[in-house]
Amino acid sequence: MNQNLEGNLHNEKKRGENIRAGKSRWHQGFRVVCFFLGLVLLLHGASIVVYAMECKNGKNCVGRNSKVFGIRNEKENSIDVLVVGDSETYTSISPMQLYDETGITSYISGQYGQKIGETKEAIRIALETQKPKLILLETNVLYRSKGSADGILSSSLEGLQSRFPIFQYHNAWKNVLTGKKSLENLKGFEIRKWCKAYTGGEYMEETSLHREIPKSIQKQMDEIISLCKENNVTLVLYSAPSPKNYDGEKHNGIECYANEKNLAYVDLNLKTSELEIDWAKDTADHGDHLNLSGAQKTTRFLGTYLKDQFDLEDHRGDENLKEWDISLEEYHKKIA
Amino acid sequence: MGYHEPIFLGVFLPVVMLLYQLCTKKLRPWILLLASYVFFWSFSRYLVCYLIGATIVVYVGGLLLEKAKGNRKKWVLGCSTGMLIGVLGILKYSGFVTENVNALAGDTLLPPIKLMVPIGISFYTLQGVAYLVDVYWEKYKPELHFGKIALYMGFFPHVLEGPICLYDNHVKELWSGEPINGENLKRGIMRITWGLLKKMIIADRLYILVSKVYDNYRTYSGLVIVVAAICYTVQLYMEFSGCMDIVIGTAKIFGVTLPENFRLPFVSKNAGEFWRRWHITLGTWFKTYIFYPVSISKPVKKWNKFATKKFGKYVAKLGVSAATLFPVWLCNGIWHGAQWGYIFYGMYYFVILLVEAALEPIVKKKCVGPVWDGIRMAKTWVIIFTGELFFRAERLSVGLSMFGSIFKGFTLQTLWDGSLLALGLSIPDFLCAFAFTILVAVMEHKKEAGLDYYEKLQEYRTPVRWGIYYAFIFAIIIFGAYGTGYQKVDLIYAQF
Repeated sequence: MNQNLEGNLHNEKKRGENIRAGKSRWHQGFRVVCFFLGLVLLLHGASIVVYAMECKNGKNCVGRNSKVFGIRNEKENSIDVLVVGDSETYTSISPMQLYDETGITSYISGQYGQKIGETKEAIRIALETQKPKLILLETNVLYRSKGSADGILSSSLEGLQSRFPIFQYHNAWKNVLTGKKSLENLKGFEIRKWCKAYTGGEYMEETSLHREIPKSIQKQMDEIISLCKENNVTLVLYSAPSPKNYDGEKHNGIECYANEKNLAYVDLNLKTSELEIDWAKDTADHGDHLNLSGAQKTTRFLGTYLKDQFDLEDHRGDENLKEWDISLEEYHKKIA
Repeated sequence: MGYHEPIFLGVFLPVVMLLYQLCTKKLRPWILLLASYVFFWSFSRYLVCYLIGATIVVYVGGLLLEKAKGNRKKWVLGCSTGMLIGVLGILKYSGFVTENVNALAGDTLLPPIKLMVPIGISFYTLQGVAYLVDVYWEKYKPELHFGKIALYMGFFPHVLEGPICLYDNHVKELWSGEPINGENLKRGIMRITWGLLKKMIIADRLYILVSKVYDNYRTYSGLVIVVAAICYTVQLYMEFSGCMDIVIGTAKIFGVTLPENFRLPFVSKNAGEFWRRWHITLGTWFKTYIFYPVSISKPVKKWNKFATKKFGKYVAKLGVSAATLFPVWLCNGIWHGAQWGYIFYGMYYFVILLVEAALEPIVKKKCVGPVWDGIRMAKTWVIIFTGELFFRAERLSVGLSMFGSIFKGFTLQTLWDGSLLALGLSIPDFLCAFAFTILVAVMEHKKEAGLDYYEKLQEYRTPVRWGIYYAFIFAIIIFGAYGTGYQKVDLIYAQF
């Protein structure tokens, strides 16, 4: 009898302990959920603050994002050609020269090491205040991903960055500390007057092989194409001359993709003799980027191409765009 | 998939934790073993065969050692350790040997060799040798369970950069299969966060300056080289010790306590003390498996006897120090890589430690008190910074050239004339690196003094505790040198 009673008591005690352990587990789980919810809220709040500091006013924006957000300083609906991509963009096209020679107004929303997700974001930001007729997308961004796993990870991180801009603009504290203001307005172009020659010889050898654009990037490109269609913008792919970044296989891969998507594609790497690119003089860093003289040659060629192929207005003498003429004078002084 | 990368911390580790927790106690160690091979595969692909091969050699060698007697036992030990070190030697050093033979001959006597080296080979080889020698010394019985040896050799938190573990201290926890508990999880995550802070905010930021100076070393001279050497030393410490924090934290989550690899190395008063506080597990390995066997070897004992009689104790001791330290530091240099620069680095410390041994009686008598302590610490810093200048240089000739250029155009004006701001770091970057270095120094001093941060945090109410957690997380997010504007920095010690 006593034994039964003790047994029952023991069972009751054990059941009580189990219930308490279960409750404690729920309690722990609830605390973990609360902690992460708090973290998400704080990330969101910090993102709002940083975004406001770094992006709302392009004038305060320095560093990597200055060009992307700098477009907000441009007069509304004044840009006809938007250029997006990585550092190959702002070293290969000079918007002031393009305006000077053809009257086309353009702007470079480039960032060094720009990834395809950032390209999409740059276009979206530009479309907030501009109605460009054409977007020139430099194709180096199409291979900025190593493999499928890396691609998925990279896309996920980009997704995280766009959801929580604090990750992307976390360096805003530096601007606050230094109080730096935006640089002169070259519409995104960077002047590189120095030269470090490329001596590697021919790099665009003909081949039947083609390097496929990673699937994760193609997916993002589909979204960019849709965005352009929605806004009635023509999307054109172009490859800036760069022996370090291009070869025959990449050319074939991009051409194949452009044909599939019915996009215009200009590979300036195949036209270096037409452009009169001299790799002993026209590159700033051994064939990675063009210098000023290289960019001048490329811009001249692209100006003619754009004028011939697309119906773009000549804005020279336009009373509403007087500031372009002022900027042009400054530009001439700078490149002299 | 480095320990600090999002794919490891955000995908791999949570998946392994989940699988580990869902499995039964018996299966859990196997999950860790599987995860370890997946981790190794992610870096070295089919070279995982070398790890499996080394594991088989260690396992079979251990069993044979128990059965063998007398000379046969020595023979078994020689063969098994020879196989492990032989593979390491062939993969890592054959290219270096052929290159130097050809350079000496002035002709291509031997074809140039460049072999693929599995990541972490220098670490798991030392662990394997330690196990075999310990079994030979009958420190413990050989392991009959192959899985235990395999996990000891390849456990994913330490396979890449150490710490170098000893079997008897390690295997019980490793194969326990205990579930992840709240305390271990919190301690582990806290340690990982601390490591990320050191790596991402300080080390990866200083990398910009260091790589700029070392990649263009001909352009720089004077104080800029000194600043680069100091920055590299801080970068290396923050990176390596930060990675150790991540590794130790990761293992802690699974209830495994790994040995510490650093204990405030920069408070050392001499080079000997520095090496007892820096990369401790490597030092312990060399001490146990090279230093002691050499010091009790017959020739050294004979010398000691002879020299004590003939020249006195002081000279005899110095001779013994030279005989024991030389192989240790030669091996230390070679272990770091197949380069004359690393051999020079080893010999540099050999000479310094020998000089310290020679001066020890005077220093012990005369150089006492807080002022002398400060002077000795500053002297040790100079020794460390000089050593790291050569350690980071691509080749010995580059190191020598950089060292020589310190004395060309050396002027203190460099500190304020803007030269340092042309090295890729802005004033906020310098301030940030400096402030967090001070924070790390203060917090690690307190930890060394016995403060358990986990226990301390438990004393606070939840809002305060969470506030501190959030502060650390946001410090990494805001001040971390990551993102497209920064270059991805690979783990330095993983290449050794």
